[in-house]
Amino acid sequence: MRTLALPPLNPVLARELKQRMRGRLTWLVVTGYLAVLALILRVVYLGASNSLSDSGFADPTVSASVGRSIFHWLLFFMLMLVCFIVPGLTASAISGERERQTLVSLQVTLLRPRSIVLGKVLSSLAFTALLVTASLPLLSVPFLVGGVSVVEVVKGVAMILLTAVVLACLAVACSALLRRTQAATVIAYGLTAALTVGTFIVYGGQRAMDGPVGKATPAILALNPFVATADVVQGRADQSSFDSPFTALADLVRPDTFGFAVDQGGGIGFGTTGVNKLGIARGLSGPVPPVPIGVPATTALGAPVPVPVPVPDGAGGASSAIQIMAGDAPVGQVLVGPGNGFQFGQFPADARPQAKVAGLRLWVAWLVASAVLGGLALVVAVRRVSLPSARDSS
Amino acid sequence: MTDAAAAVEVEEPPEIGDAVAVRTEGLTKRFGELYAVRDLSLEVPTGSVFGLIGPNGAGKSTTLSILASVLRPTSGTARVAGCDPVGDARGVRRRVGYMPDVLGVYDNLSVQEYLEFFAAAYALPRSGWKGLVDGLLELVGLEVKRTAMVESLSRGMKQRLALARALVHDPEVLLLDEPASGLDPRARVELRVLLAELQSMGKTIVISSHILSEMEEMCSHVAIMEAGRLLAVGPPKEIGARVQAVAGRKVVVHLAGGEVRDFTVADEDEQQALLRRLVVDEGLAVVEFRVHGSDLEDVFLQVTEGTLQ
Repeated sequence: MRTLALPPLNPVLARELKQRMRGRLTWLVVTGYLAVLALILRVVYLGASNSLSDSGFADPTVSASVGRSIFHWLLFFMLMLVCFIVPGLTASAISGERERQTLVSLQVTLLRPRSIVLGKVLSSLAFTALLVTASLPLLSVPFLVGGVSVVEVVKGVAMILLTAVVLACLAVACSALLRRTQAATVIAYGLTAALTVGTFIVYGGQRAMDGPVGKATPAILALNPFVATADVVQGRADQSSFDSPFTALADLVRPDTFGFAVDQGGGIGFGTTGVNKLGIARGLSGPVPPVPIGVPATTALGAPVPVPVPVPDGAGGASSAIQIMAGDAPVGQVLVGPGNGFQFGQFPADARPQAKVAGLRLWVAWLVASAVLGGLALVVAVRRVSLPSARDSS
Repeated sequence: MTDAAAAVEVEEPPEIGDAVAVRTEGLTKRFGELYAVRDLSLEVPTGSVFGLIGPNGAGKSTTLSILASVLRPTSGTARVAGCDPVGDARGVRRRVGYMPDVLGVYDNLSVQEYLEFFAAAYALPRSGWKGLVDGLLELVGLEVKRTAMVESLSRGMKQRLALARALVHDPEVLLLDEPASGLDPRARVELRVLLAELQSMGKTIVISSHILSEMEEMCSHVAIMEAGRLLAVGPPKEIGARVQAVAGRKVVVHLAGGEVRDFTVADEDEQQALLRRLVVDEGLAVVEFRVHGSDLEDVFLQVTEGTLQ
């Protein structure tokens, strides 16, 4: 490296990289991470190959959904592993130097506090990047069966790396604020849990109090990296049904929309929609009383529903169209024909509201929230590392 | 040839002049209710080896921390190498080499890499690193340990490495906190030689210790602190005499047959009188008559605060 004319690396980063790559634990972590991921890949692939053997690779739709399923599960677990590894990796950054009694020697050099903090964060992220890079070959497995584009992989990996950045910033702040690595580690994992699991708990609480239907995207979930990743990889136009941990997450953050069931007599029932074709049936929970066309109605779920308005059309015959209004805006339309039993309908994908928080797409909102959170954490850490300190307790 | 190595060949040690390298005025540091340093006013002449002496908890480390721009004083001012450690911390850091009382070292790093890291931390150009590290290792006598891992070094070697680290940026002023603690006698002698060499390079050295006898030989000036206050300041001989005047001289007399007796005398006259009494008046067979150096810790156990002034 010295022979190359590289710009001088952050000294802290350069030193940490050297030390880390010499540590024995490092290779254990890399190996363990890949082993866990490979195991998951194996399990997911086994499960998916069952559905493959049913219809075979010959059916491109099935094959594609299997590929997507593998990709999504891998991505999900990579994200999870990052959440486990990054706080532990970073929480000792400053407090570890304090415990080794090397911090002061570092602080009295001409290194600026922000260089120290940044070097520490970058060192953790460099290792995370190594892990993610090492797992890229595993991410290529879905390409065997298809259904995943390179763009999707890049998006997914980008979300994982961005998540690592936020978690590293939070952990380094813990490490700077707390004297002991143990305490810093606990708090760093606590913050990570708050962002990932805690936001769900809060959301669940909100949901329990407000009722399930008709609410906008829960803003608290904009802090959740899993939900943001779901929003990115799931996309809004995803109609195919396949097994993915992100499906339910993406469902959660979409504003509740209504699906409907129309019976032969023209009665109509409403429920919250899921994301896929079958979701409508799933969303219709409990007995849904038929509602006469043109009459405002309340579903069995207890929330006000849009008014179905008959569309005067010249088609005549037995068919008639029902337009679904939400306020003044038409949000969907379904043709009611003389077929047997119920017809299930769903709003067209492009008419379905996107998950938005404060007017931003959910993943953008997550980016903004994360930038603010991470930035604040860095500022706190830098301030804490700055000398001379005015601390007045010994 | 590096600055450090070149400076070793300075022909004659510079005289200690009137210039002041470190000055404090009314320096006070309070930790909650505890005064670690109380109204400390000091002047350290440029080129001197200045010993801060006092028992543990006297405020020596706190004082050095303030001078090294690590701690912010509660009140009072300090100037180190012309810079204010509070207002111009970077100026101080550029001109001061600080060696804390704790020896922190990194895992998985060689001696050479350790010094190179600090060279980078002081933003020294990479082209000069090799010569710099060579010069420093030669100065502290660690050339053979160049590729050894830092954590494998003995305590004395770590101490010398820490000193080399404090010298990386060729500072004017060195602040050394208890550099001799935990060293075996041989390592202490080596440290003393090293400090003399650094002094001959024109550096001002402020050094803290709780052992007076050790400082007597090394320092051109000493200041005695207790409970955050400055009790006395001056050349070590003078201070030593004043301490003895208060605490008395301990005299150990070995008699033929192995009997040992301890005496305490006030001054040289009493010492003579004691010898005369033992040999002439009492007719004892004295085989050894030795005046003990004063151990400051002992002195401070006996002497209450303020009596030295």
